[in-house]
Amino acid sequence: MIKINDLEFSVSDGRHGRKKLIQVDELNISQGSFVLITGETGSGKSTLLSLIGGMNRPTSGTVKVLDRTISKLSDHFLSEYRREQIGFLFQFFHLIDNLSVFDNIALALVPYNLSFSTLQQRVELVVKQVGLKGKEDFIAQNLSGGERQKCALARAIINNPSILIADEPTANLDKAAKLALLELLYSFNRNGMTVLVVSHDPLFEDNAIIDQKIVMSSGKVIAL
Amino acid sequence: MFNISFIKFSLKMMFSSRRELIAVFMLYTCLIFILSSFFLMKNSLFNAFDHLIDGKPELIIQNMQGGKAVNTPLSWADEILEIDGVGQVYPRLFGTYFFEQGRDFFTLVGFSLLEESYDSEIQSIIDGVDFKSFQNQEGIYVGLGVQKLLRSHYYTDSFSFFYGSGKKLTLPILGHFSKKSQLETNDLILLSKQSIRLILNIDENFATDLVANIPNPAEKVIVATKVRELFPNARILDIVDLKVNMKRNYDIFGGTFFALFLLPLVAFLILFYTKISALTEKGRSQVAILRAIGWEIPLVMSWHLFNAFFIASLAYMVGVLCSYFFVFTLNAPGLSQLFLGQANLSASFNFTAVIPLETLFYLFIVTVFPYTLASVIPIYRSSIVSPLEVLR
Repeated sequence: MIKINDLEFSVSDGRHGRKKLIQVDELNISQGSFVLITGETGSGKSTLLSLIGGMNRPTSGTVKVLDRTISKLSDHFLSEYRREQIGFLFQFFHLIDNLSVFDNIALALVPYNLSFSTLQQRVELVVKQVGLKGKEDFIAQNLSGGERQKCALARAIINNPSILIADEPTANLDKAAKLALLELLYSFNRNGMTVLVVSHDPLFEDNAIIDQKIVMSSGKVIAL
Repeated sequence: MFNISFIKFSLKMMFSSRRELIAVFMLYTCLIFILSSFFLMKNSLFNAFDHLIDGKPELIIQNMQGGKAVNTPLSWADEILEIDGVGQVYPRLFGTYFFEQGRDFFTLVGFSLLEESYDSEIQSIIDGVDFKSFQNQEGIYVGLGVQKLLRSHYYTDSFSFFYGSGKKLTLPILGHFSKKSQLETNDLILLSKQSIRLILNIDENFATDLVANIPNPAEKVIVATKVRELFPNARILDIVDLKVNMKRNYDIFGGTFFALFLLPLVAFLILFYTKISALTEKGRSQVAILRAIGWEIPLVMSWHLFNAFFIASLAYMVGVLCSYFFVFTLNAPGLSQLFLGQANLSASFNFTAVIPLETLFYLFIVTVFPYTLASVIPIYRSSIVSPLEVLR
């Protein structure tokens, strides 16, 4: 499902040329798997996620997702890819603080030109799925950490993506919220969604839900 | 792209940052208000000038002695009439009268029912005078400023002029000038030639000055030269001088207003610069979130374009409406004094509502569009950056 070959990503390093952030010769992730990516800080985990999620283009090499080479896509198709195939979950939730739960989730549907009633139905559905029913009108900044992450999760899955990418999703949550999130991620995964998680949290390994573990160091995959 | 959901969420996101929105809206409305007030006042004044100039004679001839204008002999009129190109010559009788109780000056202008006036406004008053009743009882016609001042001193039906050594001439107030001509007639009292001669002590063989009507404007310079040859001490003013003098007197392009005009301009430039140069951390984060969830760059830019256009247009409308109310209903308190300093009864000119549509359209173009477009530049800059770099 996800095939990476000869991937290299480097950034400008002032006057001294370019700094290589990541170099992956080959990596395959099968559809519907729960993948945990670990490694020390600065090892390239988040960069790998951004390349799979279409937020960055590789300097060289290819990233193929669902038989589509996303590393060569224009911004228009890359945006479409992020919208339709990818759901993002961040450590700091990244909601628009002054908007309601409903509005934050519905923002992901705005590019589709849907009627407001359709939009409302779809939001209601995901709100129920993540357990935020009754809190649609709450302003995001007034929610607890766990609720904010659930809201972010609802926004990530509203377009029913093939891949859910989560970058340290449990880092700012208490234990109960972590378990609730884990349960949700697991249930989406069991329904066929590929889940890629970057985390240092032992919770994922302790609960034995992962299908594949990728360990990274200095921009390279050192263990699979 | 611009469906209901898009508009709805754009507005929601815009109103979610209320403090910033209110600050921009207030500043923008103030700028538009000041600029629009200036243009409305300027247009109203220019309109009044045009009305004023239209009724004016081609040449005014004054008798100068020692650099000072003195009464002009009526015999000059006959000699000027002999010059080729001169249509008519009218003697004018006018002067200032100090109204002691009101501590203000009036301009007295004499007229005759038997003569055609050089001034269209005065002629329209004369046309309306009942010849027979005026012969029975002579009276005065007053400007709106005079009428207001006289009423405040309980002169509602008649007014008494003092002349010579303590003599009094009481004349009934027969009517007033129109509001349209107020710039010209605000401090004016129109009365018979006999009365003005009596009050201002002008001999029967003299007038205050003469006005010569030149049917062919191309001959104006030649006529003026010939008049100067005939009367070396004559000062000749033409309509162009008058227009320049008026603009100078009313200080439209004066330094005071320029300073006032510069202030909003500088503020606008600061606002403009702030808009194009930076986006707040919150703004960058919002753009990154939208990009991460699949909004394309044109959609993100449309969202900001819509927001900026909405707020700028709303501020423009509110600013223009406020300035309309300020200028035409409140008569521009504070600002009008910058323009009106010449009349004897100062600051009593009422701005007549004239909407300079073309100017307001240009104002819209030069304020709303640059702001709207400027707001898109930092959005574009933020949009092309990887969302993850901002959100990490």
